[in-house]
Amino acid sequence: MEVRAFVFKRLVLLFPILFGLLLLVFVISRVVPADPAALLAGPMAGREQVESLRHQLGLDRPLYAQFLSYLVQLGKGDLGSSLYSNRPVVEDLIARFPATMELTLVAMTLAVGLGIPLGTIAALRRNSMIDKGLAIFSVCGLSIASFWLGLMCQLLFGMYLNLLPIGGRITGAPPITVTGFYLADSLITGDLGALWSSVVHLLLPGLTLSMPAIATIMRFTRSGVLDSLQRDYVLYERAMGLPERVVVVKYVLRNALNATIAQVGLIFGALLAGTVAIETVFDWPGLGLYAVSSILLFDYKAILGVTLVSGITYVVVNLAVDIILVLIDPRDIRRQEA
Amino acid sequence: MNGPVAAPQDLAGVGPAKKLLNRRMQRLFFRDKLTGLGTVLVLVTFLSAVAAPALSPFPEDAYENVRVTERLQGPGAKHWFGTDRMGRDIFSRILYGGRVTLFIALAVTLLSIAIGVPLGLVAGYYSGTIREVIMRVADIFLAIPRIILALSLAAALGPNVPNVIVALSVSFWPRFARIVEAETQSLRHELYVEASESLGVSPLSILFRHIFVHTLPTIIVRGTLGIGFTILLAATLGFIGVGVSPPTPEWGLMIAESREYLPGTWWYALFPGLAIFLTVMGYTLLGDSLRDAMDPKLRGIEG
Repeated sequence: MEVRAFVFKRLVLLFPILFGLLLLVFVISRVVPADPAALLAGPMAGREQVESLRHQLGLDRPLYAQFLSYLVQLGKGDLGSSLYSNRPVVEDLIARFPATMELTLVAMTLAVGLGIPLGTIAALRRNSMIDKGLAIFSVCGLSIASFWLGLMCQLLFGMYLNLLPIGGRITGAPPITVTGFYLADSLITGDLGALWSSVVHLLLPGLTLSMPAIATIMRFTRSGVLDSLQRDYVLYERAMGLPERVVVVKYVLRNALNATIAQVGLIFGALLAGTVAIETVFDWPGLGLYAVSSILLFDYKAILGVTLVSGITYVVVNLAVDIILVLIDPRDIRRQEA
Repeated sequence: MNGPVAAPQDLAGVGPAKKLLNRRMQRLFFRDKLTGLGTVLVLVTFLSAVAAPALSPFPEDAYENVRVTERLQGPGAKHWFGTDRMGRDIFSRILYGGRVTLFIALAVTLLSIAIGVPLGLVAGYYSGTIREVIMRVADIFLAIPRIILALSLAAALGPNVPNVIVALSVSFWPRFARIVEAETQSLRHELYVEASESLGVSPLSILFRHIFVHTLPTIIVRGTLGIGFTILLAATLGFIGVGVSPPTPEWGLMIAESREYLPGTWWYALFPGLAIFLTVMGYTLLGDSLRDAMDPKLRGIEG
């Protein structure tokens, strides 16, 4: 019952956050630039052009009225049209969302799949050369600019050694669209050529994007495992003569990973944000690349669309992670309420 | 203003705690090679930025300058890190870039502390409506991943140094507000705070002298790590094209410019990236060490 009340409360709290998000994005778009109409009309526009554009866009109405009509528009799923291509921004976002999500999820998988084992090894071999080496690796992972690492990998593996593609999602025809995720689509349609090509294209962007996340997960896992190893139940299990492998995998890791899993929501946000730079480097046709090319064209509606979608995705994923944590272990309610 | 006001200060035990902290920090600082490396990196990058005009072989290359005959030359005796598309000396530009980057990172961190910490103190001390309003506003800013919020703000404001500082601070202050709020809430019911309250010490004085002082270690640790992360973000903004605009020597911008000349001119992209890496690494190492020194719980684990 406590769990259900918690889930309900969190779902209700979602609304003020989402409303605040909309308000913030509105403020950025309408209030921050001194004169949005002049910005849109471009430096070459005359005064009359700017005035007529201002009226046409409703920018001469009071701010609250603008905000209301913005909300009404959003309610209809309308984010306006791209000032550059004249296509509805929503269509562009829907077309690009799967590319970004696929990259983010692959990076997340890499981060968890590499970070947890490495962190566990570091903790089990505390103060050994391996532990020290991994500590240095994690500092490097957190200090490196991912766009630069991506560029260097692209230069080395793509341009000099010619081993991996330097950009894009796939070579040749993409698989038949079912979900928009190339890995999933090529599996569903049994297109092995496309599957291989997608994997190869994901390798460099996925790894460079996940670098800071691997480092973070490694650190949390290491300290979690170290903490668990000192508990009485570990002493007891060892005294019982259980093999070390069983003690670690079955008892220590289960208890140690709570803190790591609690980080998943935050790490997801960091990865989602990281795609902006990585997509620019690897020409990955997702939301990040869309935002960056929109910036270069002063297409502010497109930028705001990306901001809104990223914010909503991030909020929803964090909520989902928190709820899943509580469903796994109801004691987690107390941690989250604190 | 003496007697009753002076007494609570002793209740806080600031004196002995500080001494103990100092001793522990010294031991850890000198034992730990990584801390040493971090300190050296922070000092070297800071000093070379300050002394850039004196250290640069070609100070005139920092901003606008064209040497047509020396375009895109590889590293050599004259130009240690090679030259860029205008024939400017990349080594000199990296030194000057450190000035821009460190100025941005320090300004953003200090501004975020100046906004976030007082709000966090107030929110943590006065629970109720004030707390709810401050923390919900902070939550909204935290709901957008930092680089994306900074990106849309910087794009709206236009590319120059003050705007980059504003864009990065707006996305950073809620983090300080949140940590300080949490610490204030737990300190608020400490015996010495309640004792000071019952002695009639003003809330402002309690907040500053008894609570703020105790949140300082956390603020310093977060601030140090935050400088490093802000350098990464500022470089990313520059790389994307919403940071500072040319001809400002900014590391991310230099890497962005190098892209159209790759794979021929590896030095153009390599050296500015190394500068980012080493500078950020200094703050990451130092921040980690400070955290280990100040958090007894972690130290127990690390043994």
